[in-house]
Amino acid sequence: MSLKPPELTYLDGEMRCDYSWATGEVVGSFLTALRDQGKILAAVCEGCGVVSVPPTSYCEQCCSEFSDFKEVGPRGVVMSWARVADDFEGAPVAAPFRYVLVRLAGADTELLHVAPDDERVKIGATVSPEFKPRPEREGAITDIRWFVPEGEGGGEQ
Amino acid sequence: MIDVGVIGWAQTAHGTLERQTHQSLVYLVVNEALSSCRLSIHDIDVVIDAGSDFLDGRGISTCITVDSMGAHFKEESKIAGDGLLAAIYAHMRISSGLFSTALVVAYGKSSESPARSQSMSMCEPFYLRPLGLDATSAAALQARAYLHHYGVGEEAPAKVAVKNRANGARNSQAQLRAPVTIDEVLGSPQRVSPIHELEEAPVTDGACALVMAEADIARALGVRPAWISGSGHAMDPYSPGARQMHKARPAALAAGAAYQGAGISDPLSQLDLLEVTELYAHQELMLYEALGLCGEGEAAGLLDSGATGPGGAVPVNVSGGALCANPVVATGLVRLVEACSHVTGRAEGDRIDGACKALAHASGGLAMQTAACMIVER
Amino acid sequence: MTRPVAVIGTGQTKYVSRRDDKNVPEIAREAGMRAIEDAGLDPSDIDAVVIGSAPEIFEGVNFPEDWIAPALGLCPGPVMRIHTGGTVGAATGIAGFYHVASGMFDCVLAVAYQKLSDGEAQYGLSACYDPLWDRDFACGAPALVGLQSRQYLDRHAPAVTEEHGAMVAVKNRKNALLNPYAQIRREITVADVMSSPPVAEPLKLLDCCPTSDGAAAMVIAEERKARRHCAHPAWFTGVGTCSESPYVPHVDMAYPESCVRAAQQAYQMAWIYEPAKELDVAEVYEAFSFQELIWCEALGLCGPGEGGKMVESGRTALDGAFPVNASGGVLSANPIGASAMIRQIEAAMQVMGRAGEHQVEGVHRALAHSWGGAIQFSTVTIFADEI
Repeated sequence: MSLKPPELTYLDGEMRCDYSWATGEVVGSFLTALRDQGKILAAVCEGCGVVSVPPTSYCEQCCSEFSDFKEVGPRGVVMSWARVADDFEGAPVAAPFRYVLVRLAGADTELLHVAPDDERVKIGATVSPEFKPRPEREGAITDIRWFVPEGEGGGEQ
Repeated sequence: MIDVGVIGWAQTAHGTLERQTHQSLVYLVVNEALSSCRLSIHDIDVVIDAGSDFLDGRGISTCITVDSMGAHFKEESKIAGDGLLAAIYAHMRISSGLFSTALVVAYGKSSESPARSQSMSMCEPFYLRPLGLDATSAAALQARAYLHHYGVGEEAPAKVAVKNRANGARNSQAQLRAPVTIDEVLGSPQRVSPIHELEEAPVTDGACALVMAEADIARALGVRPAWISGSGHAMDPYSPGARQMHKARPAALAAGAAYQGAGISDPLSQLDLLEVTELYAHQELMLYEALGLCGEGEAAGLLDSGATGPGGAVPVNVSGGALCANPVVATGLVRLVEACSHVTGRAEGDRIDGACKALAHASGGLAMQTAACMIVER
Repeated sequence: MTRPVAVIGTGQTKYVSRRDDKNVPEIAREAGMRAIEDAGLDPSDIDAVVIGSAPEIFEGVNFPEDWIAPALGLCPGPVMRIHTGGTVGAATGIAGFYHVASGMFDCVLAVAYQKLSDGEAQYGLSACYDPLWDRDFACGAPALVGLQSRQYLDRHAPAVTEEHGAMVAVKNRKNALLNPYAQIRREITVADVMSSPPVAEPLKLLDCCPTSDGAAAMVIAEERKARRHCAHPAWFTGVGTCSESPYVPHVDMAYPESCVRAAQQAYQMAWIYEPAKELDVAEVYEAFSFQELIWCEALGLCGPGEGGKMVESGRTALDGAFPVNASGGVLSANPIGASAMIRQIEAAMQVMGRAGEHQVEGVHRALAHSWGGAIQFSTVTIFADEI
């Protein structure tokens, strides 16, 4: 008896699940400050004093606890960037756009966010956050629409 | 410390394996690994496997491959991570004195789901996921940080791609077997700059298995083992902004622990071969530095010198590396199998004659947040 | 000769159906830091971390250890994640044991966690079924255990009845009153159980465990460190795991072979010939009431079909001759990924004399059991107060 090779070699399926993630107090406070006050808060570490943004309740550098919030920025310096060419599902803004790592004034770590696809967005450039209008903010990291370059900004490619 | 050697191994021909299921891939590779050292599944004391639920599209992914990997009624445990970590755990099991032989299995069918969604789901929900970050975007931020910090030109990663694709062309198990030119690499589209498409690892289906045994068994079988002389694994902080993006610190730490075990103080002269997981071409440059083959910022120079080419003093990725085949959770285990093949003189094709000591490296997380290394020697 | 290894500190979070106040890494950290403190150590004493949790879809983050482990104080440092389904908590503790027994590390933090409230628990459980064969009619865990319980009852009727399952639930919920970490701390009667709404026959609501958020952790150390920091370490004397093929019709769910073999492995290693006599207490993973009887039989704590008689006689009560699930068991708290480690922790605490109000007198040897997958994974860990 010969078996005819099956035409069907794939079964399509999808896994889609709804989530409601508890943020915890520190992350929750950061997101609330973005939404309600347009402020960017960093965490000061009780042990090593490192100022981390975005903040967590534990220090990723030394394991100690969060001690206090400190407002940082709003301006910062681009430490790295990457240009996204094409749109995709889940993108924060329309392509092309840039991911950036920004060292905000007063912080010891970089915030990862997005920026317009502007030639001025390069390493060393000064950028500042453009917040969405208050009614559009949800208490999410995307309440900052993106970081925009200032003036002609110096720095190397 | 009990001496443990890798005595048998196998890997699939990697590619888009439409007619293979997870079970059939695993069954195939386990049987071949056992035959390669003339053992039967009944000789195996414990099975340690590596898999990913998200990749397989089912919870407790390996619960349906238990029988195809021969773990029915056996001690078995699963690592959620790369197969090289599974090999490290298997080594621990034998070193405890409670087991004599172990089978390590890793597999992944990346073609079955969008690669992007696999890495986007690695982002935590508060700070990263709403920004749509994925593996390539994170690696791109890393690439630019590295290139800028050390003043390295974009042609350096492209040369890594050219080298590894040429190597892969001589590896019958690799998925990508066509060489590329530097112009082709630099001319390929940049989905996320500065990374070019031909500098990214492909989407691959594949599986890999190996058998390790304590010394008495290895000797009794009369096979030449690849002795495990050192291993290490390490993880960096999670937040990309909390890390030094221009360095591969976890790889340095993992290798450091492995070097200590193997008594290696000068890797460039004491290692004969390396197989590293370069999911993106620039990462191989970063790894030359992190693994101690050269000083900070000197990787491009080392590459240009030819030292890491197949005929060089310390060939890196003779197999073609991850850039030629990336069966996700199996990629690091494949690196180990390649390393074992060379030190035992069992490598096909491009054998590095006289290779005695080799390092295998695996990478995990976004932008090499985690690393694992194992050193094997004749 | 295997290196002596012991548990020298444990930590747990209070199990509740929803922890609104902390995110996933913070919950894992809470248990981890408690264990380190309980061991009288500092995070800098930890050489490596082993972390475990059940399917990632529960919290919805892929390779979650990358996100969570940095909260445990070791980064940069060695971290490995174990994922074996329901047994994962114990498999994580066992991996911690091997990290130290191998000689590669001296002091390891093993952490297991689950935050089921962030996602949809039953969806996650249904996603364990094979998309080709049974996912279309999957209905979570109760369906499978309903089958198992029916098989068990039919095989041993009339010696074991539904009321015996109810007696297990009553016993364990009563024990939970003395466990400050337990989620459900409310006494019930056999009549309450028998009249509770059916879930998947013969399982009724009060035969079933809750879903919980929580984490558990252990500090595992080699002998020198153990003796220096801990007055009464819980020594690992027997460790066994066994996996079975997932093809359900082949599995004898009423007397699972993987459980028998894992137990044999552990007993052999611990030089135990008559477990019912040589062990003092047991913590078994009874996500559903009948499972306590099934596991006790497969572990050799009583003969096949004698589970009903065992619970009815009071032998396994807190004040009985052989207390089982003095902690209240999984019926009283089930943060899935952590539940199997909690069994190990509770067994270790009994040996260490740290079980507080639910401490049983004179415990020298304690057994911890777990199961997972399609009733295909089993682990057995035995702790003793001396080596």
